[in-house]
Amino acid sequence: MPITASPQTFGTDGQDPLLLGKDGTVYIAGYNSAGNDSLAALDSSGTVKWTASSPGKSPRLSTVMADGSVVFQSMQADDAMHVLIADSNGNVSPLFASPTDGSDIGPAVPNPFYYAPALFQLNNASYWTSSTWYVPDGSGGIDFTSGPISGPGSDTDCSAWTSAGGEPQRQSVGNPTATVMVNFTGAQSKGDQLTFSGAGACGQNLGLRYCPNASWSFYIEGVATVSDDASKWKIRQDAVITRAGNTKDTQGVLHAVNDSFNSKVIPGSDDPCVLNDTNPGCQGVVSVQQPAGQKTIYWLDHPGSLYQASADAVWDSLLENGLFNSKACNRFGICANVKWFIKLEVDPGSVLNCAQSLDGTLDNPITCP
Amino acid sequence: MRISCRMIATMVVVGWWSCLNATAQNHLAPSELVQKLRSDKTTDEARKQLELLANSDPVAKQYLAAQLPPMIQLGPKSCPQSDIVDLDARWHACPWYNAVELSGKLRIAETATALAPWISWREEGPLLPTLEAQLVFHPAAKALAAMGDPAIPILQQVLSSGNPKDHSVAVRVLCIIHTERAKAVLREDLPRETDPAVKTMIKNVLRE
Repeated sequence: MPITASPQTFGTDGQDPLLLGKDGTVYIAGYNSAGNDSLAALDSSGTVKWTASSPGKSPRLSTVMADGSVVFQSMQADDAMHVLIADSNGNVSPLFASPTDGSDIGPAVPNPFYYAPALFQLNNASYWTSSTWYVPDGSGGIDFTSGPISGPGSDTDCSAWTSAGGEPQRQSVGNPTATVMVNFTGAQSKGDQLTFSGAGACGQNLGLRYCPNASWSFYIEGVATVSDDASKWKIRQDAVITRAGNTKDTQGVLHAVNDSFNSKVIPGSDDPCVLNDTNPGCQGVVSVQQPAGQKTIYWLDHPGSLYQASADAVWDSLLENGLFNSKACNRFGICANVKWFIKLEVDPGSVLNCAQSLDGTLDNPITCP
Repeated sequence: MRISCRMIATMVVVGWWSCLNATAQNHLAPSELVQKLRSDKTTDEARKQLELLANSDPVAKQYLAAQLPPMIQLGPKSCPQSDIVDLDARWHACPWYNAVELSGKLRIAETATALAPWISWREEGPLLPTLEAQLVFHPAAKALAAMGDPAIPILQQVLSSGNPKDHSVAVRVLCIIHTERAKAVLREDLPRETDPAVKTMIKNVLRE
């Protein structure tokens, strides 16, 4: 072997150091005998077709093109992941090269810590001269949307394909696309066969609900519509929660609580569980419906708070705010996402304050019915 | 010129001494690291170092197998009061939590009996169903799940203990372990389950 394949990337995005072309060519990202970051292509008999030095560290294979070239990312001297292409002879150049001087004019995802981008919230949007916003996402993928650099339609903070200024027609022809949305009220969608279950769950309708002495939860349904096949996409989610309030112990004494939790401390931990999920913690739990041959993906969630605050205390009053980022990503790193929130208010005496509790997308909060 | 040379020589000696000192600090003996693990102020750093050390040194792992059970037996009430807002940081400021986490990450079967009484103990934290399924807020249960088959005898005891909370978490742990041995226990348990959600979960595991 001309190079040693890199170990699989830490985290749950499953970056594979190998890619297989349709002609049987195996593409490998790793390091050569001198320890330098490299790429190699081997034909189906194991003969080396080409080797190439990676212009940056940690090359991550992305896509094999029809002509046998391979697209990959690597971290260059500016501590950012750049997108490059190795042609069918192993010649490496920027994927998006300036026609004038060949310099890299494509996206660069900042990665100052030399770790897998999945570990960081690399979400600063940038603008290309081709009237396209690119939005690096936490999985190392890139979300694209078109629109002006300022004014109406310039907001790229939400879904790449659902922002007001987005124009899917300007996507690269043939690229799979997705739209993501979250339903907060009413019944589940007609095609959604999933059921709410697990800790503190009761009932099947969407919306905020108190399960007596068990939980206060916002029951939501995520829906992703993809252009190719539902089974080719992975639903990911992360959450940041802050809580403040008082718990009441068995003696009736109140104790102040103020804390926060970011699911990213355990990468992938808030990704909904799929059938035969590779995450062992998901065994027996299915909260995503994405059968092959269909174009709609459903998933359920019911974040909120347990009634029991700890082993010997219940919540007497609580203000809980949660910000969620749900996304659908395919194996090429194309993602669409939607950000949504919950705000749960429980008044002293463990009484749900429906009027002050909200959920919804950032621009469309929904009050309790 | 002579003074400069002396200064340089002194700096070299001081630098060499600092290096030696730093090296010594980076290679603390397991007993010293366990002492640090027990201290509120140094427990998290000690946990990280012990995990690294025990993963490469079977003797260190054996030492932990003897030292961790008494720490775990102290229970979560032994955790210091903390004003740390970030829950992950707060958990890792507790020696008990770190001892439990080490027992799971290093799969130290000798700690299973000490972990069992805390199987349904839940850290304070919001309700996030996927994290609940993965036992993220149940450190002792998570450690038993990571242990795999060696934890099964103690889980069987928990299943028959009559404590409904402990029982349901033990079922979840067995689902995550997901070995043939764990599935055999779940298969035997299934007819006794009354909660439809738990039954569905077990059936899902047995069907795969």
